[in-house]
Amino acid sequence: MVSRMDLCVIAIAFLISMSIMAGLSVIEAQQEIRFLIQNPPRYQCQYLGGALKVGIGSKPNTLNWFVAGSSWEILVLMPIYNRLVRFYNGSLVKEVAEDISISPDGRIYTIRIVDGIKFHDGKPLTSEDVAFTINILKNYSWAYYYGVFRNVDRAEALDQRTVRVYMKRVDAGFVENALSVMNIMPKHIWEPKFKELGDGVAKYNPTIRELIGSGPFIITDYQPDQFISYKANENYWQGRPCIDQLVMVFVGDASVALLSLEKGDIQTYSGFITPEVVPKILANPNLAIHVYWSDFYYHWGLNNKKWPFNITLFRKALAYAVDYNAIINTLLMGYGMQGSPGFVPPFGVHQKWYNSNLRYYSYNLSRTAEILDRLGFRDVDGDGWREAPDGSKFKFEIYPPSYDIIRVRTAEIIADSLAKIPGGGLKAEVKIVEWATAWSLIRGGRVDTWLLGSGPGYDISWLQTRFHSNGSANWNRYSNPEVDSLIDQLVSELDPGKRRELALKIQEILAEEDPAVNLYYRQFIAPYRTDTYDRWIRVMDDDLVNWWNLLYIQPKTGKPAQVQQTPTATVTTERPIIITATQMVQQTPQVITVTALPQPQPSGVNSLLIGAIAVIAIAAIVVALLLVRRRS
Amino acid sequence: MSTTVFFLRKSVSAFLTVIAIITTVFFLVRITGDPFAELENDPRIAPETLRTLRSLYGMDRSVFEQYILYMYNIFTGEMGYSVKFSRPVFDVIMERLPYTVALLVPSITLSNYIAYTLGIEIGYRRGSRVDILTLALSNFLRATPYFWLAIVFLYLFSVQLGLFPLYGAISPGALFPSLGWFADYLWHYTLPFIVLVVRGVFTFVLYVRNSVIDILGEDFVAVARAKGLSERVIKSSYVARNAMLPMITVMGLRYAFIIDGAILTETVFSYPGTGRLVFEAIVNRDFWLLQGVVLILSISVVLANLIVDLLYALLDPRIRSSR
Repeated sequence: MVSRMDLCVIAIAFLISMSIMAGLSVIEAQQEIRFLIQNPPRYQCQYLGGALKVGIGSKPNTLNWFVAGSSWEILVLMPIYNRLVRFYNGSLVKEVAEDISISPDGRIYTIRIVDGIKFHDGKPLTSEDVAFTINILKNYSWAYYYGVFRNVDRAEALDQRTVRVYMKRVDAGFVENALSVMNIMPKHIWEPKFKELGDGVAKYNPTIRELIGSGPFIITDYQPDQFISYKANENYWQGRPCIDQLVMVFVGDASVALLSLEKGDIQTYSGFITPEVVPKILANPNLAIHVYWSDFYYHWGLNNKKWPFNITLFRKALAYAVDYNAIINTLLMGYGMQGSPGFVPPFGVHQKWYNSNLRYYSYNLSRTAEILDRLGFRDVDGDGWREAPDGSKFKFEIYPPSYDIIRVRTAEIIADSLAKIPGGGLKAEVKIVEWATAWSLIRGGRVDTWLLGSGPGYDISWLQTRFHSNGSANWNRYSNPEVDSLIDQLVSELDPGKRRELALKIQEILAEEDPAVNLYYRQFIAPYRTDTYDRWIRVMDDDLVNWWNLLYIQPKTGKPAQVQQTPTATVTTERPIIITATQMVQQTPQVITVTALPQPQPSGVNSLLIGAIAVIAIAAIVVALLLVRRRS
Repeated sequence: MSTTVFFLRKSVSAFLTVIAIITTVFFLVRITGDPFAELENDPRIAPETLRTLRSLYGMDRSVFEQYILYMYNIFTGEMGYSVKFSRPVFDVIMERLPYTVALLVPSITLSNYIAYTLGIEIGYRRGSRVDILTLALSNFLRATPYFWLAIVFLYLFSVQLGLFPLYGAISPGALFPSLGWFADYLWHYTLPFIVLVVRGVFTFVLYVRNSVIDILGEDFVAVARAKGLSERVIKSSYVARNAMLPMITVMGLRYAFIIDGAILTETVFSYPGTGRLVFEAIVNRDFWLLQGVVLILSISVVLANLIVDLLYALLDPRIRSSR
């Protein structure tokens, strides 16, 4: 017989074991999620030396990283700073951060950083500097990156090597959107500046001495509108770069840049060149081109709040009326591909979110005609143009900005196709306006349609700004409650698998509803010289003035590197690039010939001579004229 | 009217002109839109960032309040901050103005002098081969785009012959103000200088030529010849001096537009001047930079006008005696 005592013992044992199990499960739930980041690629320098000169297409206006917004400003500051993590060929790799873990509720990030990193002035880089930078970016709303840091509550340095970031709300894209773009700024330089100037730092341009970072290059000279020169940081913690010097020169004009490239003055040009010059470049045996993708989606924006663009079927009819192949092959000369109807690009950092089951729209005017007939847009008066369902004359406008000739021609192609719809065309007026005007019309929501190029963010949560009804950059004014709720979940969900499912579903809906017609993604061309430098690292989503290239490019001849580092895991330098038959990428074999070192700057004597000759020539002209006058 | 009163009147009207210009530009430019509008297409920018930026640059106040503050600041020497450069307008302009002045003042002076001298000779030798050659060259160079001329020079002298650099004003590594720096600067300076002089000469030589032809038909030249004066004396004392008068206005005002100056030359040669600055300020709707540039431009135009007026009065006794 089981006595009452036994029952009590059993009950207590049961309760204790239950509570232990409950306790264990709570502890398990509190285990942090490790954020998976790969190791960066590493290369060994065979030769050291050389002064790499690269041409860039536009000038930076400020060297203050906190307000630097243009891609050129970010570019010139890139070599002198380090980041916690960085993107390489579409994946996140470690840099200063050794380890990142997130609490299960997504509200606390714990970052462990590498030990022993020093700034250019010898002071150590600690978690204090990391915490300082994060706190500045979330405190001062004028900072360029404030938008991606605003979910941060505060950042604290726990010890020399650990930073803890507390979030106000869950931000699943925090590491990719925010930490991958944040340069770690030295607290000992900038904290006094912020104390002294406060908000005045927004209008402050730092001197060369204040541009101290921990990166592989040290700034030596900055001449506004002319060039920035750097020298290699010999004590760089990842191993010094192979080149000794780096100069970024601002060449105002693309044709002048190509002339300099041909002459051998610059080794690559980071600016915009048109496809027509490619054959001329490739005809030179010392030049080659690198083709890379831009993730900007160039689309035909439709005002979803204006009739008839608020009718989903009407928008789909428009999507069938675009001759995508003509745009890619004729306008872009093959350097592009049709835009995904789900708007997420199929390459680079977006590849893991891309829905490959989407059905792309094709050029099919009879489908357009069919849909328009069904909606009631018919040509009742026989003038060749379709009227609105109520019989009134119908036309709408397309606004391409004047600065981009491709978009202007695209608008014309679209208008032409619309005119050719069987059974009556749709009248579309192409209004070419200056960019600033176009922009104010677009954001005011006062126009029918427009052609815009928009950039997606790194993390898939960029969909919120573009397609959520509260999105700050939802210029199409698209509003779908189902998409809204999916996006809300996407932004706050931490599990990558679940996020991917949500992203795939959202793309499906967007492809069906077609809030804007995604037209094309572009490829850009970066020309470079193959005769002086070796190991050009060609990433698929950037040109040749990129972080990896600057670190690892080396001269073909020079001082042999004394320190033989053990080779780390080799990583492929490029994803396969989709090249159509119209392009030809010339890969010159790496034959090491004895070439002369890069030409040093002309000595003072030489230019002095030419300067003297010039002055004498002018004086001679003046004297000659005087003599001529006297003779008569 | 005495010269001092004359001078005073001119100065006061010059001052009022400058104020009027600044005021007009101030209000006009704000009609063109919002300098921060483009940031809205960048999804990384939060709405609070735009609000803060607007208030940092004073755009959250009414236009009239901004105007009063701006005029007060101008009189105390403060030119405001540039939106695009994120630093004081004065710094931005002063970084580039010395380069522009160094390039344009000598080139304008030299081209004026050469145009003047050449024009007189050509006017005398009307119909000769030299005349026809110069006319043809002049028409050709005036018709071709500035840009094209600059690129042809660049291609010929820099790429093919390799004599001159392709861009910039100085090379990396040169230390100011050593001799090496000046030599390097002169080396970069030569090509844009030559292009500007060539174009300047052939643009203005026609004016001088026509003026000389007019004067040669005047009575006093016939009288001077009848008196038996040598051609040399006639040329230097009668023709040259009279030809100078209309030229002073035209060629003198070239100095006024230095800051606007050689924008195309600067673009092609990647020379860091202020011409490009003006263009960018307009395109980027950088109001404060534009206002700063317009201030300098209006002062230099008005000043140049003043000086030209005075020179006129000095050189032409007819104007002096009519007062």
